[in-house]
Amino acid sequence: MDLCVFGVDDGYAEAIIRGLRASFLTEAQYQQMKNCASIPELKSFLEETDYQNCLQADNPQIPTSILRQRLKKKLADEFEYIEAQSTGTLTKYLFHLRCRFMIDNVVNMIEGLKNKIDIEILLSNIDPLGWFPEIKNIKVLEGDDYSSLYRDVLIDTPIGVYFMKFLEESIENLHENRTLNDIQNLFREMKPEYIRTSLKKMWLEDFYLFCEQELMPTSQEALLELLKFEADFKTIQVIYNSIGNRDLNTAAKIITTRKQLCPTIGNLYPDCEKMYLQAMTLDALREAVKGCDNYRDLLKDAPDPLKREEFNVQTKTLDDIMYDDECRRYALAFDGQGSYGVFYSYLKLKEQEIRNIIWLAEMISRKLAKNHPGWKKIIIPFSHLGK
Amino acid sequence: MAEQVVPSRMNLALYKAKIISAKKGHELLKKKCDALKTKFRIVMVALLENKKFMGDEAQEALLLIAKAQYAAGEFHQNVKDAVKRATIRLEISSENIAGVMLPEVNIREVDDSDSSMSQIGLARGGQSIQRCRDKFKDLLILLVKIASYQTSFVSLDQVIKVTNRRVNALEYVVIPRFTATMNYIDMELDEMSKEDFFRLKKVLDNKRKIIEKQNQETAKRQLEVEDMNWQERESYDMLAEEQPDEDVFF
Repeated sequence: MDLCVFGVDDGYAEAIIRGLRASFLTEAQYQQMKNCASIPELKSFLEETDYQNCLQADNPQIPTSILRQRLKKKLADEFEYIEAQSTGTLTKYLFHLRCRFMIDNVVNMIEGLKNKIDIEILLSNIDPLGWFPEIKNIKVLEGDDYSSLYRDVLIDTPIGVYFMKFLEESIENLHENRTLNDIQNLFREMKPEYIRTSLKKMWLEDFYLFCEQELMPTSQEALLELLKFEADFKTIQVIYNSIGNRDLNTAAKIITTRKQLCPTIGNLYPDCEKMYLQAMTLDALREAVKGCDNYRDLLKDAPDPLKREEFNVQTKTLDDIMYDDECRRYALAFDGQGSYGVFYSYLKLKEQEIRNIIWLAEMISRKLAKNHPGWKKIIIPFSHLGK
Repeated sequence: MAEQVVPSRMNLALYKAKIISAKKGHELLKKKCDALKTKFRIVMVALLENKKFMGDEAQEALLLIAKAQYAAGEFHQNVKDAVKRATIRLEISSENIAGVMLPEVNIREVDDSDSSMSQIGLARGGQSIQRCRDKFKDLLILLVKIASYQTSFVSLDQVIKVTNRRVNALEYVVIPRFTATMNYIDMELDEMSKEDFFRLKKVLDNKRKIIEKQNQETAKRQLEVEDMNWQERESYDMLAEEQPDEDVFF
């Protein structure tokens, strides 16, 4: 049923996205990029692709950080355009997608301000995808008054709800009779990485809920599947990265932190929760996730975080493995018809493409030999489909 | 210079002493130079090895950071924000090699128990970031070592140059000059003694001549006196004979 009416509201936006499919770099283009000998060469090559306009004003010897910024800006511009063309539920949906980047930006801003970094520099560093007008209002008021920053400023931002929720949860954990001072101290001592991860977890859960309640069945089907995998990957990452973490040395601490950071959705939750929360080694984690289809295979090749020697430039990390797997899923979802999954996939695949270009730029600027294994690291979107 | 010295016994003794101490100094400096050179060579080899090693190490570290960025996105701002104080500190002590103070940099790691570093990238790429951090730590330690060696190398080089210059100056300038001066004084003194001797001889000669003359005169006078006596005796009665008076000229 929803396939018939999908085009009524969202057909135009979808058509644009499908048109943008042609902008992805092909395998042959990647091959050409690998053959570039210098950064100016790479830049002039990119100018012949879809990235033409965003690089024209720059100096040929472009630093990778600026390059990344430009590529992201282009993606943000495209996304903004699509958002402007959308209506109703799709607008809300696309906004939800951008919240992830907004969280990053806001956390970065706050941390930067805590460290007295100039606001202009902070504003120039923000991710264009997560830009929103209120971000300029974030500044520390007199006397380190963080609680009023959270109360008055953040609540007006689009992601204020997550901050409120996070605040409430953290304060509940604190103790019964709390004062304003406690809140302030809480935020001064809270580790930004922890805030970021918790907020993203909330966002993911919220987004999941949104998809479940407001989207049409076809979109739901595609997106819930994708989000479940994303949640699972997040969970696995949190567990994996907290193995052997020096900060979280006691078992109780590590379990509470994991519990707070792992999303409460996905295929692993709640069945394996108890198992993975207590996994202190890679093998235990493998054991915990073995019930779910291919996670065991994913973790099979991941380097053990406790063994330092195993890790070098050539190692295929868990991130690589996951990106590879994600890339395959998103490419499949992109080709799914009549669902919102296409927008999500587009964003993710473009992110992967930017990562690829940056990686190649790094490799080129290091002047590595062409037989270095690093050249094979990139994951080309849609390359899985041909096989 | 050598010409200006007053040739005297005292100066001669002075210069002899000077030469002896100059030779001793030369010997000592040469020994110092050798000691410095040994150290210099050790430092040079270590420096070279470390520098060769550094290239690969830096390459690898930079690749690891690229890899971590690939996995975790732009995280350097988060790292900057998370760092509250330095975890690696340097302590500078000095080593004494033949009177030369060489700075020696030691690394002290401060335990970063409450840093929020290790939580970065918890949701993505945490391991890569940690590995990258470890690698850069190694690289930093290596760089500090290189810096330490490099400073030693430069200061040793300077000191060796100065010492070498001193050794050469002593060997080729100071000692020959002193020897020349001493020879000059020696020669001059010799000359002087010869002159003295000659003068003495001359005086003696003169004296002898004078004495001889006197002797001759006395002998002559005696002879005359004898003669007169004899004449007187002969013409005893010739007293009346007119004697030409010397004082009286006609």
